[in-house]
This record gives sequence, C-alpha cells and structure tokens, in this order.
Amino acid sequence: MNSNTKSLKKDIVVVGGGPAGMAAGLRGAEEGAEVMIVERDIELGGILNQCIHNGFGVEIYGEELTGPEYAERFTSQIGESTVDVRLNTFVLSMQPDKSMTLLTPNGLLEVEAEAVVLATGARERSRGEIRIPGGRPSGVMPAGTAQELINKKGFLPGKRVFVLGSGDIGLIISRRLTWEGAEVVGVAEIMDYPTGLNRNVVQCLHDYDIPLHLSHTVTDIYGSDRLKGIKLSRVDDGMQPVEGTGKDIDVDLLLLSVGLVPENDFFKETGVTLSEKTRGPIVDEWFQTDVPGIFGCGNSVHIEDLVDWVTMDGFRAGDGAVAYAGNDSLPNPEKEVIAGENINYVVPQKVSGEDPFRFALRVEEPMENVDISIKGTDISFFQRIVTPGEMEVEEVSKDDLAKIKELEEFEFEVKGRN
Amino acid sequence: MSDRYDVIIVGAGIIGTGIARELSRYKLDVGVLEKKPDVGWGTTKANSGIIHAGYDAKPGTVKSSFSAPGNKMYEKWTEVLSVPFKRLGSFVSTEDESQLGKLEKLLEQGEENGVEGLEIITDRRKIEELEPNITKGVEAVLYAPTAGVVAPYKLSIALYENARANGVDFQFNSPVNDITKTSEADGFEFYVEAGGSRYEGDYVINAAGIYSGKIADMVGDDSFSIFPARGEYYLLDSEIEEYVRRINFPLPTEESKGILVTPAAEGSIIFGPNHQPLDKPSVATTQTGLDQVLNGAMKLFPDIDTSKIRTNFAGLRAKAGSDDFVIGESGAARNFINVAGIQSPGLTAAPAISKHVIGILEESGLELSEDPGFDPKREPIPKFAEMDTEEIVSYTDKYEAAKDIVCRCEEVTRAEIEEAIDRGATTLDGIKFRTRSRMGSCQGGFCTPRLIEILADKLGISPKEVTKKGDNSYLLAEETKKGE
Amino acid sequence: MPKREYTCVACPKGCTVEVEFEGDEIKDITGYNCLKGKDYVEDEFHDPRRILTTTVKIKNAKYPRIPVRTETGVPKDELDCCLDELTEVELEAPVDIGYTVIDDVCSTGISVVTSRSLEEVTVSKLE
Repeated sequence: MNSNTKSLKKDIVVVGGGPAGMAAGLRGAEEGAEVMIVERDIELGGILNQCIHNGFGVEIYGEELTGPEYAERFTSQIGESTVDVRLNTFVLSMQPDKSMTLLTPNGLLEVEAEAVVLATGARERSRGEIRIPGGRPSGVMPAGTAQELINKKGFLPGKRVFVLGSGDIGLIISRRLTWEGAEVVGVAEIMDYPTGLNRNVVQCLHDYDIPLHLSHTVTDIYGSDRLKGIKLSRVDDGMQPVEGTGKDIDVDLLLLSVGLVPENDFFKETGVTLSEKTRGPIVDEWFQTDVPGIFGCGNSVHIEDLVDWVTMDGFRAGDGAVAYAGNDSLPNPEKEVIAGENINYVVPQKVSGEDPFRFALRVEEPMENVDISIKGTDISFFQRIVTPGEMEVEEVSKDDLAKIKELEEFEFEVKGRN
Repeated sequence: MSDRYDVIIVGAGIIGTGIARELSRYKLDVGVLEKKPDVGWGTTKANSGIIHAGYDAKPGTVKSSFSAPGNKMYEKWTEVLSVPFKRLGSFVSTEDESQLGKLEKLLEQGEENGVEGLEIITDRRKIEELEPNITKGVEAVLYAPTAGVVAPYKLSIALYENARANGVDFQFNSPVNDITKTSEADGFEFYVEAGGSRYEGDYVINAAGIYSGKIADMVGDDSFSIFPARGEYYLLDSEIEEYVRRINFPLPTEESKGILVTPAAEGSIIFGPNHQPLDKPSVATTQTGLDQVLNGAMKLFPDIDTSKIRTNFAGLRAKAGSDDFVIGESGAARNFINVAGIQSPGLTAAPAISKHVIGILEESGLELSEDPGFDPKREPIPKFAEMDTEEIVSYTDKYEAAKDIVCRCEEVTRAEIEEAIDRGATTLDGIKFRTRSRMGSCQGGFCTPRLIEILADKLGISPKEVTKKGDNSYLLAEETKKGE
Repeated sequence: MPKREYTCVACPKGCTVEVEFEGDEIKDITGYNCLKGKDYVEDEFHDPRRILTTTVKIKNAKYPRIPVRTETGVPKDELDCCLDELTEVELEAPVDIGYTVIDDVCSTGISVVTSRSLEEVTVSKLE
C-alpha cells in the first residue's frame, strides 16, 4: 500500500446516505457502534432531496411529509449523533472481508469494517434497456433525471412532454411539469392498469386532464438533434405493439418512468448471491446477505414503494449489523421463504424462524378480497385489494412462529376468498 | 488565423483526420472543414470498429489493395496515438459442413490479398478453446488471427489531436456549401465556402463520407454517387464482455459480411450490423432492423444474456455505385482528390489510404518538405478507472478534480471531463466519446445534470446553451420560475 | 339533474363514484363501497383541496431553488394563483426548514413554508 494512503477501522460502514443508509447508520450509532456513512453526493438524503412532493412518512410518522422534510428529520439526528459522515466520497472497491478503498475529498482512504450495509439505492432503466428504436435526439431522459433538473437545478428540460410509464414517478413528474408551465400531452402504460397509486392517477393526471393511455407504449422516436415527436402504439396481451395502431405525437421531451433496478455492483463485487426476480441480494430477516457481515436495505435489495418501509428496513439492517459487528451471532437463516401462488417475490428470501420478521411481497395480478397466508398453516392476513403496483407488508409474530416451528420452508400464497 | 491553405480537407472522419495527420509531417498549411462540432461523427463513430484481416475483398479491387496493408499498420498507428486496439482474431463460422468450400474460397482469397495466418478449424475442441460460448452447432470456422478491434471514434479524436498539435487547422460547424475553381491569375486553385467563411486552397481533398458525392458535384465531378446504406447495432453492458472473445461473422452474403458479434475495443459487446440501402440518410434505428440484428446475433451466440443490452444505434455506409473505394484525383478538376466510397473495410484501410493520398498529392505537384518539429506522439486522457493505487495517488495529488467522480458507472472523474473539454469536446457526446461518461449502465441518468454544469462552466456559456451533439440538440428548455 | 363522476382515492380500489347535484347541493351519491369513499367524494364535491409542492428561487445556496409547500391543502382553483405568487419570490440563504415564504397565499389564509433548510455558500454553481 502506498504510504500516502490512510487507513481506518469502523464497526459498521454504511454505503449510501439516502433514507435506507441514514436509518441503518443512525440505528447503529444509537446502539453504540462506531459507524461511518459513505455518500457520493454533496449531502445526505439521496433521492428524497429531489422528491419535493408530499406523501412520505404516513406509515411511521402519521404525517404527509415532503421528501426533503423527511430527509431532514434524519439528517438533523445524524448531525447530533456519533456517525462519521463522509460526503463527496466514492467507494472504489470492496472486498468480501469488508475492507474497502474510498476516494474522499482528501484522497484515498482504506477502511476495514466489521459489518457493511450496502444502501446503494437504485437506478432508472434507460431508453436503451427497453430498446425503443428510432433517432437519438436530445430530449429523451429518465423521469428522475428530469426531476433533479427541475427541483434542484431549476431548469425545465422541455415544454411539450410525453411520459412513458404510469408508476408513481411518472405520474408525479407529470403534475410537476404542469405546475411549472409545461404541457404534458399524455402518459402511456404498457400494462392494462396504472402501476402507480390510484391517488396519484387522480391528483396528477385527472386534475389536469392528462390522458392515460393504458396498454400502449412508445414504438418510435423522431428527431436527429432535438426530439420532434414519438409514435404511440397499442400493445396486445403479450405486450407486443399491434401493427397499424401507431399514432404520431409531437413533443419535445419524452420522459421514461419504466422501472428501477437495484444498484447491485458491490453485492456482485463481494460475491453475494443475487435474486433473479429482484436483482438485489438474497437476504434473511436481518437483511444479511449470504456473505457474512454484508447487509443490504432499501432499494438496493428490492424496489420499495414507500420510504417508510425503506426506513424500517434500514433500522432492521442496522440492528443486524450491530449484532454481527458485536459478535452476537445472528440466528442461522435455514428456512427458505418461497413465493407461491400469485406472488412475484417475497423479501426476505430466507429466515431463521426464531425471530419475528416483517415480510414484503408483490403479487402478480390485481385481486380483491384475498388472504395472504403461509401455506399449510392458519397464518393469514386479509387484504381487500392487492395489485402489483403496491407492495404488501405484514409481520409474522413470535406467536405465529411458535405455531410453525416444524416447517422447513415458508411458502407464501395469495388466494381469493370464496 | 489564415484562411489560405495549401490543402483543404473536407470532412473530419477517420479518413479526413488520418490524411490531416499524415500531412502534418510536412511544412504545409492544412485546413480541415467539418460540418459537425466534433470529429468522427459520421460513419466513423457508428460502425463495428473491426480491423479486418483482409480476406473479404475481391483481389484486384481498390479495397483489396488497402485492406491487408492497412491492417498491418495498426499496431504502430494506435500505439503512437495511444488508442485502444486489440488483435483478437476473427471467426467466420458455418454450421453446415457443405459450406466448407466457401470458407476455403475465403482463405484462398485472403492469401492472394496477402493476409497471414489464415486457418480453417473443424476441431470442435479447438473452436471452443478460442470461443467458448459460440453455438454448439458450429462445424467449421475460418480463423483470421490478424483481425482486431479499435475504438474508431477514439482513433479519429487521437488523429485530430495529433494533427492539430502539429499545426493543422480544424474548422468545426463548417458545412461546405460551395467550391469554385479559380482562374489562373488567382495563384491558387479553389475557393471553398463553409460555415459563412471563404477559404482559399491549392488542393481540396474530398473526404466527406456519405456527402462526398455532393462535394464532388460542386466541382462538376459526377463520376460517382454515394448510396447510403444503414447498419443497425445493439451494444451490451461491459459487465459481460468476457462472454465473447473474438470477432464472429457468419458466412458473408453478396451485400455484406453479415451480422457479427464482437467485443468492442473499450469493453462491452456489439451485435450488428444489418444492411439497409436508404434513399435519404438516416441514423434512426427501426424495430424491424433491430430484430434482424438480434436474430443474427442469437444464431452465433444463442445463450447470450440479452437483458444486458444497453443501447442501440445505427450508422451509414458510404457506398459508392461501383461498390469500391473511389480514391484519386478527379477527372473533372485538377488538384481535387476524391477519397470517397469508403465503406467497410474503410477503417482497416484508413492508415494505408492516408499514406497513399500523400503520394497522390506529391505526384500532382505538391511540394512536400518534412517538418522537423513533427511529433508523432499523442498522449491519451488519463483513465482513472484503469489506474492502480499508486497511479490514483499521483493523479489525485496533481488534480483536485480527480477526487470527484462524475460518471458513477464508468468511474470518470471531473478531471478527465475537464480535460476532454480542454481538448476540444463542446457537447455531451463529445465528452462521451472521449471519456466514456454516459456509456455505462445508467446511460447518463445520474451524471447528465452535472455534465451540463461542467460544460457550461468550462465553455463560459449558459447551461441552456449546452447541447447533446450541436445543432438544436439543447437539453434545457428554460429556467423555472422565470429565472434569467 | 347534472351528474359528476369521481374516482375515489381513499384506497387503491379506485371506485367510480357518481354524484347527482343541484347547485351546491348533493342530491345523490352512488358507486362507493365504503364510508371513507363517500366522505372523500363529498369533500371533493364541496371543497376540493390540494397541497402544493413547488420551488422558489434562492440566492447564495448550493442550489438555485429551494422546495416549498403549502402548510395545508389550498382550494384546487387557487393552485394557479399560488404558483404565480411563488414565481415572484426570491429567498436568500441561509434559510431554515419551515420558514414562512408567504403567510397568506392568494388570500387563502394558508401559508407557504420551506420544506428544507439550505445553508449559505459563497459560490453557487448555476448562478
């Protein structure tokens, strides 16, 4: 090692200072661990800083906070805590033994950690990834990039806009653009139902008479320097564009809200097994991966819809990391959690069966009046409505666990009543 | 700045920059007129980046006389210019043993063209050793160990930087709209009107790619026309670059060499191109075309992970009617040299063509006297992502901006981006081709807002004036809240 | 009698609820499946309100804009007026979270406050 490189030891290093990382770091520090949060941006808060709309914190604070307000609750607590916050700092490499090299404003820094929490969030899927053909003009960008430009930098990236994707990001950016004087001429959704919250469909689209084109997608992009327009086509049941249904729409900005992907680079680098469904790591009820002492939480594990759940997961991962760093052994997660009937995925993917745990799942199809249950047991949770757009979060209690001790695996299923 | 040149080159693609750099060895005033704001933005930036072994061209064609010789020049060219080049070797594969004859014919043709090391392999074990993931059905391959890959845009940038360092003038945003022959009394041969200025020149070299037919028309040369043919591509994430080891072709057809699958010189994998003759030049991709590309690629690598596709793009082949290169002094105008119809294997041929054009100029009377100050070497922009600890320490000690990573996916620092701008990038695409920022898995989702800021800052312009690729490709429409 | 359709947002189900009315008075509501839904639609009919979240200009901060919000919902019809009033505002860092930007926006009696703090910096990148 070069003599100019400094080195440090920490109980817990949290990578990422968004809501997940802040919760994990704060919890670690509260429990007395020496914690470092590494953040590449110029401030903590992550994507919350650009999500200036309200609706955050209903589950845990019973309030409708804006993103920045929610973030500041944590940043102010962290400011008063013992957490060593490193801003403008980039993790260059990470080893399975939890040693890492950081690039800080003061140069390289080697850090050895007992436990690592990877709270690296997610990235937006790009135009290339969803393979829209056509020209390559400017004026095509992910909705989140537009959100940053508008809300933080004060620039409108276009005046006549089409939005692809009816997830919450796509809906909220439509309203935001309208409020800033742009004309949103439509939103398209490839599925036959909106994937964002119903409330957002009403308050972001209906309020401003913005049409929502279900079962439609963008099949061509026009323009060679700046975007001139798009082709909107209907899709069939297999989500393939139907020939002859294309309609040209003149716009100067196309925003893509076509899904998020966990930022999983450090999981890969350290040899953590990933889930093919979530593209994040396979974790247990403490959010520990299969590389001992490496934890995940928030969107780096799976794409969540509420920041409240991200925070809760961060606390839990923080607890796990404290236990691991303090050599308190975490119970062995020997029971597999299986996504059964009408379930796309469940997190965690394995549990010990000894500690009560919260689970999050996404269904495959919208259904009404369902029971979410563990197969072969009487543990079940009623829901009036489930849709793939809304994650279901429930808790398996100590009492529940006592009843199902004998099971070798927990298969969750979602079934309609009657 | 002088508007009088000994030689005016129209077009700053691989051919224009290659010739400019070759001419910069001599005591000459050379000017390059480019319609785009940067070099290499036509055919040069959007092709497979293959340095062909040289077996494809029919013996006796102009193409064949430059391919194998050009190939041999690549090590030296890319080394002195610090451009990534890898001699990976190429495969032409067939799943049908009865097609063995076609491979043999290619081999013979190659040998006639002076290609070395050609070999037909039918031993499955050996095929898999060289290319582990190729389709199981392959019966035979023509292996050409001398084929390679280069980053063509980087090569044109390097040639440009070196030519400029050795005294060549480059005028960007300068589309040539007229060329006039002068009268004897003027003492020079041509007036060239471009981008609102008028330039005087003794020689004009037409290296205008798909527009070279139009440029030739300006001096009354209608001896050839250019028929653009689009080729579409998919580009995959560099995460799986190990999956493909060599340049893989199917058996060639009359039109083209077929859809190939190859590693790119800077990592990642390329699928393509298809072949679509067009009436009007367009580099828009089409669903039909991309489907052809994907199907073609899947024939060679049926198990490749297509979820790693990151982007698609298209390029134009500048195909002359003769289907061959058009190189030489125009029959219609003295001192007007066409270097046109440079389709595949034009990239391969480029170094040999550049040398050859110097010869043409000399023959037609241009006096060449070597410039003792010529420095053939060009240093690359340091690449943070490839540095070891020692190198990072010294780089970050030297540049404060090297501690600031702007492009997260490809780990590109602000120091590299600022250097790219110092070296001539004026747009987001210009920065991309020089540094790889926005080429990674997020495709610019995270770093675009910062790149806009850095460009505006360095160029002293408003963020609203920053463009993706010049012309009307602005990124920001206006400030919110009626800001200035 | 005139009718108006609402999509209920009280839960993800999104029932279509129809209101028959005369002037300001609801004569009949149909299509709801729970009382929450009925309440929501009654509120939407009589006094639809929205929380406005936007930005205002700020000087000497690391960003040229600071996010703001109305403290409670403002009448839907007043949103444009609120946005216009906020366009004219320019703050100067440092500013604390919860700072009152306008205390009675568009005579609604509702105040607009900052939703984050921004410290003072000497050079702002985009100014």
